[in-house]
Amino acid sequence: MSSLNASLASALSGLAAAQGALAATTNNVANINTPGYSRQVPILETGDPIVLDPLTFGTGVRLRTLESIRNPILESQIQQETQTQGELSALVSALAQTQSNFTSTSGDIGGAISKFFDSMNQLSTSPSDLSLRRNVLTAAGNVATSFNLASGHLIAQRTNLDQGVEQAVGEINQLTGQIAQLNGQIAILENAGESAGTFLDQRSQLINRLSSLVDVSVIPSDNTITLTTASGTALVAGQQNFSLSTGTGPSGVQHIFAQNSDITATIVSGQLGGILAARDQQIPGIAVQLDTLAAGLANAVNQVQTAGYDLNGNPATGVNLFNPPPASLDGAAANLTVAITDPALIAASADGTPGSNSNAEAMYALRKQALIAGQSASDYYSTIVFNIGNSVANSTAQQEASSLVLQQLNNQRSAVSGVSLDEEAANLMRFQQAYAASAKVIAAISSLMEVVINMKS
Amino acid sequence: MAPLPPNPPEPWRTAPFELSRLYLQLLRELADRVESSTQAVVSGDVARLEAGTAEQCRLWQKIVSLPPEPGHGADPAWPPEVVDAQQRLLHLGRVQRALLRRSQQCLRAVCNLLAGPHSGYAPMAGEAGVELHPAGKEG
Repeated sequence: MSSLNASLASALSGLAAAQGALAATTNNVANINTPGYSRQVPILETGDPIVLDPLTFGTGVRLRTLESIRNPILESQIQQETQTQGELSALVSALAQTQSNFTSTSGDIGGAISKFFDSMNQLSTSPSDLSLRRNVLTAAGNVATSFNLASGHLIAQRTNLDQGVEQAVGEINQLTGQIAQLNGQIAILENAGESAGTFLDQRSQLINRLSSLVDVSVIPSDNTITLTTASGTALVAGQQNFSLSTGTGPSGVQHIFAQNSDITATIVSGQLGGILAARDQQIPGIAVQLDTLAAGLANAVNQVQTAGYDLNGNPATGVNLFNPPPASLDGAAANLTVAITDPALIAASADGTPGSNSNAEAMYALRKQALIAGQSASDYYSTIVFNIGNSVANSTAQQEASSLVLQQLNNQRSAVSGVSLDEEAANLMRFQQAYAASAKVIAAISSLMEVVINMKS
Repeated sequence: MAPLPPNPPEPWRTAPFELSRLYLQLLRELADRVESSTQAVVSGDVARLEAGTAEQCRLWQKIVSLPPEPGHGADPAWPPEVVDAQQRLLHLGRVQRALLRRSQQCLRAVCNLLAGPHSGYAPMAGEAGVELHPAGKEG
């Protein structure tokens, strides 16, 4: 037969279990507004029974663990979406900056080209007028300056993005170090059969932050996880983290290395992926178009200029208006300059006769001629600006779509892992009553013991 | 937003102000429907998405049936509030397109998964650039 002491122990176990469950409920309520917190549920189980033939007596209850409620598939989806969000955010930010550089009035290439052709049109009305000739040189200088400015902005933006790469890599290393450390703590607790819910939440939050920076794959194993990039480069394995490093690559920009191997081209998502896409694809693409435009315009103007005659009736052979751009077009926009300073050298005449304006008219006619890729200079420039605007609009829409999906996933996560005050209030009363009932049982056993003690005396 | 009258009164056909007002009302209603459909795509509510798409088609038919604004030709100079509504609709359309494209990718992955281990990850028949072959015929 079970003794009073055994009943007392059983009641005490109920008291301890209710106390533990109350602690979990209190912790849930306290963390209702903590981002990434997963509610904890006390898992109770009956104590091992004692068999005293022919009867079997229970030994009370024990709190096996406090289980954090989380959905691994949902967590994985959130991490994936966070990567997309990080990538698009970086891309939109970079493209919007490029767009503002192209639409600002200070570096308006389209306006400068129009004014240059207008000045040429005015010159054709009075080709001997030196002030009109000076206006042409000024307008040509403005065209060159606007190209130089736009190109300079792109170079400066690439430099800023390059710094962003270093900064992101630094943050990645810091986060992987923290995750590796948490992996160790989680492994110790779980190996000892303890609940590591709080550390799991912290690790999940850190992985989310890491996901916003770089494309991460999470590979769970016994009591720990391995993190790699999407292409398989190890970032964290158990309690060890593998730092990334940066170094100047052959093109003069920062490349990313993992254990001496260049992984720059394999990073396609997260903030780092977005920065790299803007730095290595979008901006160089725009720079090439700008170089093509600058070279196409300069070559076309030079071709007409060198076929004419200057104010003194001398042939302008070899006297370019713009310094000829390189054949490779590389740096054509950045280095575009006006080649002449003497306004008399502008070849307005086609035949050398005084007052002839045929060549000035031919230069003005370039305004509507297809000079670059079947388009006039102004149209080609408009296409560049339109494409940038279109990229910004599409990327912004994609970012918004990603935000909506992420919000939906976070709502789903909250439904699974979030704290419900109603549920916790009910739990609080349930466990409070269980605690009170256990206390009453102890009081009853105490009085029974008192009776027994008094009987002996 | 108040529902549109089933048949607009005749005088608006010759009044630019009335035309702009009606156009603006239709644009705003269409934008609201697209926004609602966006939420339906995110929450995976196919019935709501289908209903929203049908309503969008109806509104679009109304918009395209409007005559060009008198005196402005094919590219009318709309008032600023109409331009704002056009921009909003364009942006919402882009967001919707991005969401639908993502959904399509998910569906493609699920289809490939359900197709079994013998199927590859090549584009499905019927997609752009992939010819449909009649059943039972090879090549």
